Formats: sequence, C-alpha cells, structure tokens
Amino acid sequence: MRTYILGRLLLAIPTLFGVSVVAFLTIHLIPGNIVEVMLGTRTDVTPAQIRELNALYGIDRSLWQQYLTWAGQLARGDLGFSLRTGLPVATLLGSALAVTAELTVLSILLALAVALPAGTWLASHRGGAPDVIGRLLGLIALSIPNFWLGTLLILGVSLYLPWLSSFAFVPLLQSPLRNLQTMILPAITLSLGLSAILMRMTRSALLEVLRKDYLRTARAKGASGARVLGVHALRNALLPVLTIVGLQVGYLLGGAVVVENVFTLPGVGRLIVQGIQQRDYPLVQSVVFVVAALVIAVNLLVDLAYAWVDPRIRYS
Amino acid sequence: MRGLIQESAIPDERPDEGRRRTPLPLRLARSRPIAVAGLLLLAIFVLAAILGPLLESHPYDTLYPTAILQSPGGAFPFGTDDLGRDLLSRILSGMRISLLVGVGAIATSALVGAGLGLLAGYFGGVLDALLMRLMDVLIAFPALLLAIALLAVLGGGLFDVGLAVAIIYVPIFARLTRSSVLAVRGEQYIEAVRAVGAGHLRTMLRHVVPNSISPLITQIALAISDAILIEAALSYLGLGIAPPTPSLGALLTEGQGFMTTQPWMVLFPGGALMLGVLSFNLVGDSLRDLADPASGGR
Repeated sequence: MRTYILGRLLLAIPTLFGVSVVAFLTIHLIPGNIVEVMLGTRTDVTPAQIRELNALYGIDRSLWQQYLTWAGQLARGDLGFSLRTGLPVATLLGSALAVTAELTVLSILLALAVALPAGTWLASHRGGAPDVIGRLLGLIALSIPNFWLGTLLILGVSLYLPWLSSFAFVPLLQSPLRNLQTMILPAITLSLGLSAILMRMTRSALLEVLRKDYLRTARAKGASGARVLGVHALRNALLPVLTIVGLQVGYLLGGAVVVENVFTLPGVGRLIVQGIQQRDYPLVQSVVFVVAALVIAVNLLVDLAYAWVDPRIRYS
Repeated sequence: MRGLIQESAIPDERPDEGRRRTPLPLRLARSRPIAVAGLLLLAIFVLAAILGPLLESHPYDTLYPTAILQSPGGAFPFGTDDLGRDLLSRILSGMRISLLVGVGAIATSALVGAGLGLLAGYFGGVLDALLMRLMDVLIAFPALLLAIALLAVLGGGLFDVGLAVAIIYVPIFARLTRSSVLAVRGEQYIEAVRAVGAGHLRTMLRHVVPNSISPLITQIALAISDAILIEAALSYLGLGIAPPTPSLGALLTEGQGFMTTQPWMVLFPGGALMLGVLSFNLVGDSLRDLADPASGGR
C-alpha cells in the first residue's frame, strides 16, 4: 500500500510538470504580450519606458527563462499578481475557490439525494417500462444544456417566485441563509447532469451486487427485501458510485465555469472568463494551473480512498 | 471492455450460421424504443440543419426594422429578435453550426486519437509511456477550461472552435483505443499473423484495428453530443464562434436580455440545442447498449 501511494505520487509529478508547461505555453501563444495589452492604444510612452516595463515583467528574457521563473514561484506557492487589479492571484483565487467549492459540494449532495433513491428504485424494478423510463429521463437530464436550464430557472423564479430572485451573492460566513438562497438555483443547475450519471451508476452497481452470494445468504437468513436492498446491497454498491463522484470533479468544475457565469457568482469560472476577456494573462495562467492540479489531486485521493475503503484491493 | 472485445472477436459458437441475421435497423426497431426515438430525433435535427436554407423564408442576417421583437406567428414563425432578424432562420443556421462543429471535431479527434492509441498500444514501451503521459496532461484540464484557453490562442472562427473541441477529445479516444488494442495485441491470432510474416503496418490495419474499433465507434455519438454542448457553452460565454454567425449558444445570450417579455427568445434556441444533444445521446446510448448488452444501459 505504501509503495502504491508513493508510486502514484511520483507519477503525478510529470503530469503536474506537463500541466504547467501547457498552461504557460498556451497563455504565451496568445498574440500580444502583457505590456502591449496593458498599454493598449496609448501613445504617450517612450520606447525606453517600454523596455523598462518589459524588464519589469521579465518578458525581455527567453521563453524558458520566463517559464523557470514562473515555475519557481509556483513551487514556492507564489501565484503572481493580477494585471488588472494588482492584487495577488492567491487572494483572488482564495475567495473564488470558496464559492466554487461550495457550489460543487452542494451540487454533489443534491445529485446524491436524487440519484441514490432513483437508482435503487430502478434496480429493484428491472426490465420493462421502468427501465425505459429511467434511461430516457437520465438521457434527457444529460441533454439539457446547463446554461439553458439556469436561464429558465431564473426566468421561472423571477416570474413566479420573486422572493427568491435576489441573485446578489452573499458570502457563506456573512449570512448562511441568504447565501443558500443565492446558491440553491446554481446548485440545482449544476447537479442535474451529475444526478443522471450517478443514477445510472447506482442502478448498475446495485444490479452487480445483487448477484453476489452474500446477498443470497442475507435473504436466506430471512432479511426482508427492503433490508437486503437498503442495508446489504446499497452499502456495497456505494463504493463505485462515490468513485464516480470523485472522477466527475473535473466535469463539475467545467460546468461551474458556465453556471457561475449564468448566475454571476464570483467563483473560479467567472474569474477565468473575466481574466480571458480582460486579457489578464498572468491571472489566467496561474488559475488554470491550480484548477488542473486540483483535478489531479482529487483523482489521486479517490484512488487512494478506494484502496483504503476496500481492503480487498491490493495494488502491486 | 476486454470481455466485450473477446466475445465479439472470437465467436465460440455460431447459432446464426445458415440463416441470415435480421438487418440492424430492424432489430433496433423491434426491441429498442429508445434507439428508434433517437434516430427519429436525429433525422429531424440533421434534416432541419441541412435543409435549413430551403426552409428559411428570410436570410438569417437581414434586419427588418419594422418587425422588431415580434411574437411567433405570421411571416416569422419563431418571432424576431431585437434587431428584427428572423429567429427561425437564425436557429436553423445555429443548428447547422452545431452539427458541423460536433461531427467535424469528433471525426477529427477520433481519427487522431485512434491513431495515437493504436501506436501506443501496439508498440508499447517508451512511445506508449510518452504518449500516455501527454494524454494525462491534456485530460487533467476540465474540458471546457482547456477549450477556453485554446480559443484565446486560436481565435473565434468556426474552424478554430472545431479545432479546440477536437484537441480536448483526442486523449479520450487515444486512451479508449489503446486499452482495446492492448487486449487484442495479446491474442493468439495476432501472434499467428506476425508468425506467417505480416509486417507491422499490415498487422495493425488489417487485424488489430478491425478487432479493437467497436468501443470507439460506440463512443462517437456520445462524444458528438458533448461537443455540441461545448460549442454552445463557448459561444454562450462569448468566447466561441463570433457574431454575426448565429451559434445556438450566442442566440441564448442575446435572448436573455429580453426573456421576461419575449420568453421564446430563450425557449426556441435552447430547445433546438437540446434536440440535437438529446438525439445524439439517445443514439449513442443505444449503440453502447447494443455493443455491450451486459452493461444493462450503464
């Protein structure tokens, strides 16, 4: 187990390195450098001043020197400064991550609350109409574009539930109730696709488990159908379902980019989209790297948790 | 997935021998209502997108200043937008773009991804390790985020968006192909083909590819539905295909400003988008179910 953890950690290093190179190169391939973007159409700057600015931002040096400087800063936990606001990227990212994390966690909870009962029901009514209806509903849920659903929810609420239609974001710690009021619609929007995925996973994991010998034993010992399903089967089927939750974090973060922009939530997605629109490249470069690193970390944790939860799994 | 390949590659009993198998479309229609619904919706979406220019009574970019924000009906079956443009023609053009980007991008990335996966899985060793680490890197970025970053470099044309979407799908197809190629490569018939003197190219193209391609094919329709969603999300965010070309996502953004008084401006473009995504999802899901009945619609 210890060798496995060590191996997985070592394997993450080249991936992280690659991620940093891709993030760096992509941003540096965008036409126009930082100083040109900053100056825009201003003409009251002398060539000497431009050279000075180039030296200040380090863009007079070669590409690999610039990469090494940035990577060195990253390794020390320094994410650099935003070009537009002058604030440290770490500060901006910290408050944005809190919003995105809350949105993601709420969506996962909502999705599980829908998917576990629905998937259990589908598994216990195998074949015929329930199968077709369940599959069809799942596919429809997967096919509704999240920005369209968000828009329709905003429309519906502003027409029929005006008391809920205050979308000005309130931080969780400032007023938990008001915060929940602003987060509930975005969380519903983000959770729809995930609940469809998890519902199917719950169903197929349960069907897999229901064939096992230990469930026959439970039934033979006189446990009721509901107890077999709810206690013996569901607990064993939860593992693959929770793994899928972990592996969907990347998908959720991508969805959060859109949903945050629909509901104007100050999360990571909105930070990135605004950064691109305002050509705040140092900000985008570091934030994109941190998000990808988070996805790698979560996938790693899921793998390790899997090995920890199920002692039968032994990695060589 | 391994089980699937082995089952389809080496039929150990042949109950069908001697009588012709019912053609695939008929088998689908009898036992698979979801597949039939998917094919019908797909036909509607594709026909509307392709035949759009014939159905459009007004060009999508002509302004009718006397008919601003008209309700659906009359000369404008889906109404008009705030500049007096016919919403129906704009939606049909948007569907054409969705289809073009979805199918074009996924065809490209399936070809490139399958090629890379084939090389990695067949030759193994350093090439495999290098290619797969590269795929790990690309897959670590959330798809939409990578597309946004790539588009900042590429620009906002139709081709650029297609290319960005294609790039984010390459690792998925490469991994998929690699894993099925790995399963096939170990089979005895590949060893036999090599022993009788077939070269690497011939072995790969004539023997490995046909036996490892089915998981890829079943994945294509689902990938197209994702690609359509990503294209629309990018233009919804204002980072995709640039106006005045009417992408369905951009139509939704335009409609949002008027939705409390003119709700059809968000209902119709979103509905058209969902129709496209749903049709590919239904077809893709049925293909997967057909290829691997044991998955039980997983």
